[in-house]
Amino acid sequence: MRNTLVALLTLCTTASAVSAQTFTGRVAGGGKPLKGAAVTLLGSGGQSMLCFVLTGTAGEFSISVPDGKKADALLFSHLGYARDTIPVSSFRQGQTVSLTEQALRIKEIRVRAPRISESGDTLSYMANSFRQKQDRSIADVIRKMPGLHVNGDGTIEYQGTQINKFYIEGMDVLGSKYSQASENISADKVKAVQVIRNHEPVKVRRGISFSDQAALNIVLTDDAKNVWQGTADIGMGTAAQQGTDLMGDTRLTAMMFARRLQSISMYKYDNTGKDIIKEVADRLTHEDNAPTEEGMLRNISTGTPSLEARRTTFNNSHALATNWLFKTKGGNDLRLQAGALHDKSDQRQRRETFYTDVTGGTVTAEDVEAVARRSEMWGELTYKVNNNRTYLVNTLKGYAEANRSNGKSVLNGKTVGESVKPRKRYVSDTFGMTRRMSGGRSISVSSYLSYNSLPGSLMLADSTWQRLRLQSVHWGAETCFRHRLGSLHVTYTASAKGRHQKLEAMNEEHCGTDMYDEMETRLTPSVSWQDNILKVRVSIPVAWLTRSLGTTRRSTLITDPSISISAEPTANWQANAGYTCSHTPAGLTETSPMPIFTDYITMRQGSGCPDYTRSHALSGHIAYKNTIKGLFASAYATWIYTGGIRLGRSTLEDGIYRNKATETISGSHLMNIYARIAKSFSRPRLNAGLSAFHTENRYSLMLESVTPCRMKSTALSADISIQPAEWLSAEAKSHMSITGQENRRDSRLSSPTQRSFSHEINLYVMPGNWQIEWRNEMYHSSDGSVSANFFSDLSVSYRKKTYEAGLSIDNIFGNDKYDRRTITTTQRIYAVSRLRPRCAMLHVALSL
Amino acid sequence: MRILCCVLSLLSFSITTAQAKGQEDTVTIRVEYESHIRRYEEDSLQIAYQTLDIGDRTSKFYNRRYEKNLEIQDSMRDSNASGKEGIEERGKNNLPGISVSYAVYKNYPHKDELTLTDYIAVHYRYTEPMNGISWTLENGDSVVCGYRCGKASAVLRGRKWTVWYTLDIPVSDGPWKLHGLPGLILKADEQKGDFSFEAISITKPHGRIVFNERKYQKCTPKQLQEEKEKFEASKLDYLFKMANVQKPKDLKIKLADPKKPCLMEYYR
Repeated sequence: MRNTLVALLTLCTTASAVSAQTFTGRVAGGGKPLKGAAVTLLGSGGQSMLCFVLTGTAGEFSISVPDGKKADALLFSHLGYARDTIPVSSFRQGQTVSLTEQALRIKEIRVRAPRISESGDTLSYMANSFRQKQDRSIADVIRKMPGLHVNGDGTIEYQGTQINKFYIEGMDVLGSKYSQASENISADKVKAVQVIRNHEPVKVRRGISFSDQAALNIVLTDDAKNVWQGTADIGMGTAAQQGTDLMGDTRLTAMMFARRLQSISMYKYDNTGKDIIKEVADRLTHEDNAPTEEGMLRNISTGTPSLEARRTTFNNSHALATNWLFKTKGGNDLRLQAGALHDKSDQRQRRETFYTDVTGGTVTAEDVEAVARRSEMWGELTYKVNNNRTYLVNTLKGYAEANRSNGKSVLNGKTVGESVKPRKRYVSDTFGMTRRMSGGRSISVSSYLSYNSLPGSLMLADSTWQRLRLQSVHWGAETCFRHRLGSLHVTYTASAKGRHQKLEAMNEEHCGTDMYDEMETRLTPSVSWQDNILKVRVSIPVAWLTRSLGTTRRSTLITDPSISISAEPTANWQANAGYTCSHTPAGLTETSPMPIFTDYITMRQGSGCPDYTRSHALSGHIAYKNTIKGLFASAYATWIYTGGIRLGRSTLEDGIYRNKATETISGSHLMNIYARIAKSFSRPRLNAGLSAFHTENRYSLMLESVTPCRMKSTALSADISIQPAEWLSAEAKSHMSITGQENRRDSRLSSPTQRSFSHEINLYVMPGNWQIEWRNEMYHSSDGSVSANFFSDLSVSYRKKTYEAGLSIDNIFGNDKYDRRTITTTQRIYAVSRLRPRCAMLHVALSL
Repeated sequence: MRILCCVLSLLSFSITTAQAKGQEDTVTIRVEYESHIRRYEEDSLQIAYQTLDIGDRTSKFYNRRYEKNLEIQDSMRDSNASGKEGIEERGKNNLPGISVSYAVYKNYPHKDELTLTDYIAVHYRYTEPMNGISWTLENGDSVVCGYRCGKASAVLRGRKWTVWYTLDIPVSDGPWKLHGLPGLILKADEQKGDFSFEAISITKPHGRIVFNERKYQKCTPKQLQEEKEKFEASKLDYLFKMANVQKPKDLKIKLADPKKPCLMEYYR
């Protein structure tokens, strides 16, 4: 009976507590009241927190269940004590809950460093956050960074604009040949890649002139600094198709990155189709270099079809380069660069060319087999002072090449020999100095001089020889004074530049010499203004241009006004727009009236008049970035009208294409639109990008009369890389291009639109130190008369930090032929290219 | 420019004293937060890294890089080094510019009191009561930094905060002034997106919580808010005023146009 009464009493008490929805009591620990202990009401079977209170000075608490909620338990917690959970049904009103002392066990966690951080104009991409296990060079990692893009030729762009400097630890050891670093510095030696936006390399000009271009700075890990480091890679193998040629590739590099010395040297050899020569090519077009001459003759080249060059290149390349940068005691730069390359490439292609600029249209059939040899060497010495008061630079460069090609061609069924020796040598010097004075004023002087000699010989289709000798001198001098006028920066520039060209030509049709002289004197007042958001620059140069070609002499007064506006309304958005007018005199190689062959079946003859073209260019660029979300997007549009283009009339006789300048002057409109959006996700490591490009060129051809034409090309591409697990990653790319040429007078003469597609899927399985790479490429076209191609390569390697060894098999399916139709503004080409055979290679790489 | 340098030097020498040891507490838990901060209304978010050192009695939320910078400044001044050397020294330590200068000490100097220090040309300090924040527990949970978290929200002086706290660390603390939940706040988002904090590391270091004793100018929270607004309205005038130096009439220094500061809280 007594038990029943107790049970009833307890039930009533509990019922009363539940109906009141309020629980009161005290919390104690170690026999003392606990102040600040958390009392939490739990619902949903202890899964959700309904409400909480903190205990008062005497450890007391009173907590009510929120309306409409059902409490299941009370949770008591305090730092230094074990948690205690009491079901509501077990809690007694006024109960003192005693917590047991227990040291807090914290699970220590470090989550992640930010993938991209921003400080002022500098964006820092943490290399580890973007690097995937299969990446070897820093270029592989940069490809995965949103906002940055590495083009096929190795050039790097930020938000659609080429970078203007490539620094390593803030030092410019490579100048324009930065691919040597991006392709050879190991990805694990890099801590961060920094993009310095609006980068003005000349410190004196910072705050006076503004730049919309970005520079890249590679921040190395501590163990990659102040020590000599190197790599030695050797690969050997054999073709397993079309014979058993021996294959090999070698890489030797030595690098040092210290505060007062940086050095990068390398030697590479390859005959497996890899383009190692691109690594020693100039990548920056914005360097203040003296202009040099472009020759009229070229080595025999069958052109690169629209697939990976390593599939069609039969090379035998050696590349040697060394770069040294010394910091003097005063902090100035002394840079020495030198290099040489030798390449012997087999060229083989069957080609049918339909000339759309020849009345009636005729097809030329060629079956070319040739060997092209390149032998080039260069050297450059630069001294630079770049501090906040003075900028001084002098660059001395020299270059020499001895290229030659020999071969034969079956031209319209007739076998003819081919031989060409294009040679080029130049030496140039560039000097510049800027001095900052008080009151925000500065004065600059600069000059350049280059001497070029381009002798060459060419065997024509009729087995006769043409000999050319082109010599030229380019020179220029400039001085400018900058000062502030209120909030404006005003610059007055006086400049003079000129060139002297002499061309001696001797072939069966003509033997003679032409001379061309050009001199331009220019005065350029320019004004720039900027505030936190807007930057505006206006310049209105006036120039007196004098040209003489042979006995014809012309002088012209020209003005080339330009305006550029740049806005950064928020840190996420950046936009700029501009208009530029420019006059470009045509040199001797374009205007010489002598009939000159540029290859064994192509002859060009200029007007004999010192022409110039004038162009009006409008451009707009907008970029968005959100570093926190890893989202980058950019778009640009340009429209260029070029007037003063002298049309040439083309004929085709006995397989020889002749283009002779006429009296007719025409113009062209060129429009380009580009957009790209890229997003990076941290988990899983996923980077995705979409790009679109459209170009339209409206131009004229001289057929029976002036015929308006239009060339349109649209390209769409998508790329993605993902690493869902430490041992697994994948990369995929897809590209579609649509190209068409339209004869706007007679649509029957238009070229049919070509649609071509390429897809690439690479899969990497990397358990432990093993790495299995499976690369797949597919190329197909809307043209049913050409075949689709599928390539697959497989490699297995064992990678450790200091060495790697592996086996690879390229072109597993043994594709040996690639045929495609391509369209240019004046030609439709059907070409059948030979592909590299299946081959197996063994690789060993050591990191020293 | 020289005059401005003199003014700044004068300010620096006149108002700072060497760091002295104040009340000390032992750090039991250190939480690093990645903070996204909008400093000015028209600016984008900037990233900062702030630390919450939790001790037995007090806690301190601060920018470790900023404090390191102060230490370097103090040591350079003590050794009579030039300004250029100071900048180089800071550069060697890879310390970015000072962007977040405030520190919040909870339960300091007394229990249930909060002390905030900040630097706007001079070092300011105020103490206010730690009034309970009226939190509403909400449905929803998340995992932050490996800890299971509950969700709560509250309005604090004009801004609504949504936070995630973990009962696994029963410390009623959090970033900035946020506190008063049954567990440590590991993530906090301001509703407009102007401010947010997310824990990126939780460690148990060996260290002390030290109140940096300086010659602070004491003020109220509202006064500090007004000083910030005055400073941003005209930085140059403010600097001369604080240095008690007459601004030369012919001084021509172009500073960036004033921006409207984005305040974390609004005292009225």
